[in-house]
Amino acid sequence: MSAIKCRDAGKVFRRFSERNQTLKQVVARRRRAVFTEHWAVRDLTLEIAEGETFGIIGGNGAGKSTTLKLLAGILVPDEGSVQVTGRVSALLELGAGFHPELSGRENVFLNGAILGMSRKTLLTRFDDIVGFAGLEESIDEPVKTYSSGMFARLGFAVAVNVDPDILLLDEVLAVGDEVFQRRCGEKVAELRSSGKTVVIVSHGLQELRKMCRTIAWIDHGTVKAVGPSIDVVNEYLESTRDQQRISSDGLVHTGTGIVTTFVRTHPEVVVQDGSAEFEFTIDCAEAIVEPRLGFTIRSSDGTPVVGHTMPLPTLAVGTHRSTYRMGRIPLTPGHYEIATWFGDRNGVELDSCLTASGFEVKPPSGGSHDFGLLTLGGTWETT
Amino acid sequence: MKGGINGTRHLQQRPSETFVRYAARRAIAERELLWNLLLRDLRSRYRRSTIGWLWSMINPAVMTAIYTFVFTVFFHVKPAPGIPSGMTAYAFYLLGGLLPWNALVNGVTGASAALVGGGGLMAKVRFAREHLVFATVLAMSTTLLAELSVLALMELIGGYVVLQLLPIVLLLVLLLTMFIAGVSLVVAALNLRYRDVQHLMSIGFLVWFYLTPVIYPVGLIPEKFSIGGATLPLRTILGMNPMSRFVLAFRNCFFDVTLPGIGTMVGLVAISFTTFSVGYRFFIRRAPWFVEEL
Repeated sequence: MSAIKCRDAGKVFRRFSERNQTLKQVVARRRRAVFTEHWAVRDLTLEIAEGETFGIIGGNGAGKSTTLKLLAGILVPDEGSVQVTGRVSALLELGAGFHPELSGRENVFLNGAILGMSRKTLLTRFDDIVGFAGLEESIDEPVKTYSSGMFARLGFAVAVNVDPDILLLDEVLAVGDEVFQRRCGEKVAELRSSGKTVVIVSHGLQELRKMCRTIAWIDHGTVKAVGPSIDVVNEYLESTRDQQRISSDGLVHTGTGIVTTFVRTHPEVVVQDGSAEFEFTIDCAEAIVEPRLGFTIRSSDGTPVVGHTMPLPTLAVGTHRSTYRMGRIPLTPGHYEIATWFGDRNGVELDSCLTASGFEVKPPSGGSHDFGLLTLGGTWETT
Repeated sequence: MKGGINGTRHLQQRPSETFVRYAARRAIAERELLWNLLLRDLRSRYRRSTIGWLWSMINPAVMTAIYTFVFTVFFHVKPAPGIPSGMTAYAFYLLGGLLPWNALVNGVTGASAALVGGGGLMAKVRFAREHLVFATVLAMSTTLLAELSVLALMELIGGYVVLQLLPIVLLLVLLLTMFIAGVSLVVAALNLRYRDVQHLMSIGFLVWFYLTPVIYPVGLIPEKFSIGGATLPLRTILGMNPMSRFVLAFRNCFFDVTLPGIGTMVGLVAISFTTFSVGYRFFIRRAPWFVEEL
């Protein structure tokens, strides 16, 4: 029996160029609002069997989150139908509805009720929830004093105790430290083995491949491929590899488009053996767990001179800055190109740019005595 | 077959089911949510203040002091003594109308803010959206009950016993709650969509306040009013204001110390059920698209 059935489901969003935003305009203009329609999801046909762990992958803006919201009943389809059989718990955000002034204890009951739990169930599971979140000591403190990790842990602990028939997860596993993530993984596995249907939207392709038997790849609001997880993930990776796009800086980037990295050199003209720094700007449209950032410096004829990669802490949605400082640039005078690379912790490339930036190395005041690409920076002593 | 999200997806309105019954059924299905939202509202409101709940008493106390001073010292307004209580204190006369009026204003503005403030929640969780409005309105009614208790206590000190009217006061508060909920549902839904509703709201309440006999006795309204050769039955027209009827009924209890007439009660039942039904219908027709309007 299928838990979820979507038939030709579509959701259109209106982008208003001229909208009646006030009652006054409605009365005074007597004109209809001007808008363009944008189908976030269209002709989406999916069938998810009861007890299945189902993954949804796709690039940024492909319609994954809209799909999940349609399944959760938060959005209503504009065409087609979405049929969900069973009790649904949607974890689109942890701790939705937490009130900062209230204590953790009060918020457990509030959040539990929002997710549809009865007070009786909550009372019997309260200790489990607090234990799972590891917050025995601060449960009576106001939530505003919690760290973001504590906040997320408490939210997740309540949500997995809702005891749903169908659990919808949107990238929520990407929060918290490693220990907590492992526990989340275990909890999901536990739900799966007890016959619950789990639908996960994620960019963690490797985890998804491990957890799900079936994966749907959503692209441009419709199902591009659905089938055994290995095949779909491989097909998806194949397509992203040569997926090129022009980013906001006008450069050609390849990758999924979830992340865009830019780099600038300070100064733009470096003196041989002088100091310099590379300032990386990382735009994340979604949270990325423990990514890696790397760069390669090439000489003007394309020869790689040096490469470097660096593990970063988990990045939240937003713009981040990373600076690489060098006390001495051991390069001979000439022009150099910098290529950037950004990947997830499993080495899947999320963004790369071959011509991200460049810089000039000019000879020191006394002229350069070096040839080749590198300067060794040694000193002479003649006796 | 078990229903969908939180068991409420099957809660479609049955044919020939009234909006009031439908709303009640949905509220019962999500009673835990409604209760917790109400608790959140009540708990968080005065959480960070030293005197806590007393704040809700200060506004009516100050307003009473001001109006009593202005109306008894400047204008020499004297309400006709309550029948049969013989009460003449302007403060009691005023509070009988001011407390329900404040519940209306605070309920509608609070509910509008609650719906906007609940936007993040609506985008993430499926639940009956009207419960954000109901929780706020119910919180205001709870406050009203507390304030009325204090009023009753003050009257007791002044030598007037109103406790025997408790059942009818509870019924009045229930009807007023339904009326406020109905107005709130419309205003909150519009407020989400149009940005000027909050400004219109404050102007609207200002006009409505003076059309309602809260600070002045009905006896001050001229029976007939001539404008441009036409004679208007002014008192009858103003009497059609539903809030006037609520104010007069509350004043029956807290100033006259008597039961409101049966005609008044029937009228109030009709007003509150109609307002609630119209508001509820307006709201739930639009509720599925709230997330997109945010």
